[in-house]
Amino acid sequence: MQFHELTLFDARKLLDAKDISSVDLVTALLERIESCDGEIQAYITVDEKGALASARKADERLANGDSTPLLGIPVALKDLLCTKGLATTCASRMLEGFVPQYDATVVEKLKESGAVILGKTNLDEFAMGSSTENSGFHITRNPWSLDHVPGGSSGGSAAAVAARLCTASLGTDTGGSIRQPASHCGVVGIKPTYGRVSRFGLVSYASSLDQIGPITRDVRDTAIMLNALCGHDPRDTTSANVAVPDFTAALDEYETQGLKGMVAGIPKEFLSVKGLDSDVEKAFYHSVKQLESLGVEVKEISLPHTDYAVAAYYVIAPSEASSNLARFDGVRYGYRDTEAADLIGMYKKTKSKGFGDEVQRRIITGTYALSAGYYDAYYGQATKVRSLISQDFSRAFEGCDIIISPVAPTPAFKIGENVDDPLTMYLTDIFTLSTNMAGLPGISIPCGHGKTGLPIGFQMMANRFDEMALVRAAYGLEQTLALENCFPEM
Amino acid sequence: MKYEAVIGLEIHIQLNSATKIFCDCANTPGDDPNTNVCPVCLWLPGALPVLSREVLEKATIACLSLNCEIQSESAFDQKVYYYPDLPKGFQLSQAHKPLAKKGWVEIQDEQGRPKRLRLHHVHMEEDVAKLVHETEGRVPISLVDFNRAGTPLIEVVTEPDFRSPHDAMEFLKAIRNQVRYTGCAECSMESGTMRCDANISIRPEGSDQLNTKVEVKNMNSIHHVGDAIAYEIKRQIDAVNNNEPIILHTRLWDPEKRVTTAMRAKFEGPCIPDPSVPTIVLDDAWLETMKSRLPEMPAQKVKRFVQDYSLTHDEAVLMSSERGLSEFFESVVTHGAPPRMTAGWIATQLLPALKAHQQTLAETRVTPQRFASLIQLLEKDEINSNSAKSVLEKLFEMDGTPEEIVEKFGFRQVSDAADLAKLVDQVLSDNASAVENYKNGNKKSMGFLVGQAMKASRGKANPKLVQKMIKDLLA
Ligand SMILES: [Zn+2]
Repeated sequence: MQFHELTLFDARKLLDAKDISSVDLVTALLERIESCDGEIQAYITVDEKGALASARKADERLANGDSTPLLGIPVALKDLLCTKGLATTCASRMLEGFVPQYDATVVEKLKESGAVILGKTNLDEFAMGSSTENSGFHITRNPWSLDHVPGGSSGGSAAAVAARLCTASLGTDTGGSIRQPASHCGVVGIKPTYGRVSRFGLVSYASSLDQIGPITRDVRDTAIMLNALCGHDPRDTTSANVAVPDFTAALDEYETQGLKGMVAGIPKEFLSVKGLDSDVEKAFYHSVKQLESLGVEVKEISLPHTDYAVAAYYVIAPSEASSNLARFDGVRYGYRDTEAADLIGMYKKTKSKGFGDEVQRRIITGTYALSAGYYDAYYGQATKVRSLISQDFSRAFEGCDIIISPVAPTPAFKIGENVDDPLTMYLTDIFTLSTNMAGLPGISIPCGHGKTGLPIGFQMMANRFDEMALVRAAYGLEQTLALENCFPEM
Repeated sequence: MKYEAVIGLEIHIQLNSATKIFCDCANTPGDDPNTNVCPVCLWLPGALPVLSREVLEKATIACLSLNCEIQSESAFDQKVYYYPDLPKGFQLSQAHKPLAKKGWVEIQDEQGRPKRLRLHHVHMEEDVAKLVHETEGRVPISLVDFNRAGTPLIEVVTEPDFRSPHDAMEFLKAIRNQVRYTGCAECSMESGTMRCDANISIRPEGSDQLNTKVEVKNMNSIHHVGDAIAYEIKRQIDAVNNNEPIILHTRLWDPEKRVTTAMRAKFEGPCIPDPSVPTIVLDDAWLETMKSRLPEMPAQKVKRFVQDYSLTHDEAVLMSSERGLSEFFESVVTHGAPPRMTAGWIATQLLPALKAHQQTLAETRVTPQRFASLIQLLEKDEINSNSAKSVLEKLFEMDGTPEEIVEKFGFRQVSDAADLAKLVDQVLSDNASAVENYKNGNKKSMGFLVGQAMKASRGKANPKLVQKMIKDLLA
């Protein structure tokens, strides 16, 4: 096996056994990036020097008998996470040249755990999009089919894991931005409970919805990454002060106890949406059968306010974005237009030229939804819908342990197919964004392939802070499906 | 037609917490520019606010001192507007759910009658950066100092209960005294730790309608607030009499020209609940702790000083005007000095002397104990008031008890009958014509004769005894 194909878990074993060095692993991945990323374009920035330097340090520590869970493991970060001394662009022209003076808490945690940062991955500008086509720099291609999108907004992070351009990566998920690209690229992605992972150093899109999570080759690697990322952070007051379990224990729970007695709910509103692809539906029910074969009780449930979720989400997220992005004004850092004659002119020109179309669309939508006279009708109503959706889930979880659904209505679509149709693009988030509205955890794992060979994902959602249930069930399904053809030919 | 003014105030008070409201930077905006900054108060991408506990406590105590109802739930909103003094394009302020509602402050109206002025609410917010406009060669440039960005403010918003500049000025003095008492803020309009905007409209006297208001800003003393309001009332009455409409807008007070001038309208953006600072939920136990930290307020203190120490109302008000002063006064009294004499001497001698020496009560060598001894010497007639003034001056200059100073410099009053008799005899024989005048019924001559005796004793004679002796001798 080649080094770049190793899972995190296997790489850990080989590193600890001194069969390979971190420098070997990192060099292999850098070479792979060199040869493959020209086509995929998963990365915005590759930090070759920094990566090799930390790999050498990791090897010294390994030689001294040190071992931490991520020591010497090469990871990639969505370029929405601040990295000290390493350019952070949010895939926006607006932040060209911006180099943070601090690491995001998750980056600190990864480094403490010994991880090697390979570089920063592409995304839809400021995480606004579902295809990574809205990047201010370049698109990213799906490793399974180069004329298809990788999904988004964490498209670069998902494509990098699928194309084996890193061992694991971090994404962020505001309405499905980890799970949907993970589904489209055939990898595992989890959005933890809101508050599980610190948001400090994550450039905010919609602060009440944003959450950071890992994208990995398999469920075991996801558990290892969660262990490194979760926990209260005094710098983020919304990060929850709750105990963090050892998520790898959920794998052992499956090994010893299986899934017998677990109850899974299928929301009837999800499976009756228009435009649900038949391959997606087939793959979904195939997995449902596997779960039943493991002793999971599957039943139909109802999330009655699903119909309003997309509309409410696309009021709340742009509203929060409109004030969060107000700070990018050209005064202190990043892009500034120098042609304008006065201050207001400078603001206008900087924002018009620095932000891409989708970002401007959402800022304008949000500003409108919050403006005097419309506030109650839009933002106010959307907030009410949001609490109704939360209540729907609370009620549902009284009768089941996990809720299951497809991740997206279709496999990855073609590059350019939906660019001029933002509404269709928004509707592809239908299965994922409710969990953000309710602050719940959700995971996407590969469950098969469509006729075109593109991967299809399976989503599981759980109650707040019950990622253990997700990891356990996802691991069970992954083991039982035992998919072959797990990675694209490259 | 006679008009009356309807005035409401918005007062920003900077709390004196050690840190800024949402980060650990020092809350000392006067330091070298841009030295008290971090990713949070510069609002670099990815930075998140963490509400300071100390700020919340101090804000709560300040609100309690203004008789407010603390809300069990309050929250921050993002108020969007664009200006270079606002590094993230929105200000965190409690626009929808303030920390405290209602509340009142009592003042005396022009006729000396008590008048209660109501507050609408008090909320917390962050201050913005300071803009400094300079020139670089001949090019005008604007510089931004972020030391002030994120320093903690409370904003007191009143009901439109004010009818005159007097009301506004008295209110500001009262609010300043009360909040200063809590030790949570300095409240100086001169140094900018208290700022006041006034909303002013007029209406026919006796009417209860609320007309279009005009906001006036940029007054940096309590007197400027009074002057600006008086000017604005007159300007509006003149406008109405000339059939000119009153338009909702903001005006700036120009202290040089003593006029208000219209200011360009600022873009007001949307306002959205802030998701990163969680709702502030306060329970009763916490609130009780805050109440227990509230010191005795000036109004209660005045009552107690009148009752316990038999001060007049005015004396009690004066002794309670500052917390440090009231504590000094009580400490002197506790050391055994008679209260009214103490109050009088603090007001007429000590405070002016402190000012002359550029000292404060907290730092001066004239401790309550030393000052009490001085007052006691005076009370027991061991020194006269002239000597007492000299002793006070020495207390500023040197160590030692007042008794030691009296001995060292020979300030002790001469009350010995034999000594005084000799002195009086000499004065009477030296001033025969004054004696004659007195005998002829000119009582004023007595003052002259006593004065001569005091002069001859170099100020140390007991004036009461001297007067009695002269009277007896000339009877
Ligand atoms: Zn700071």
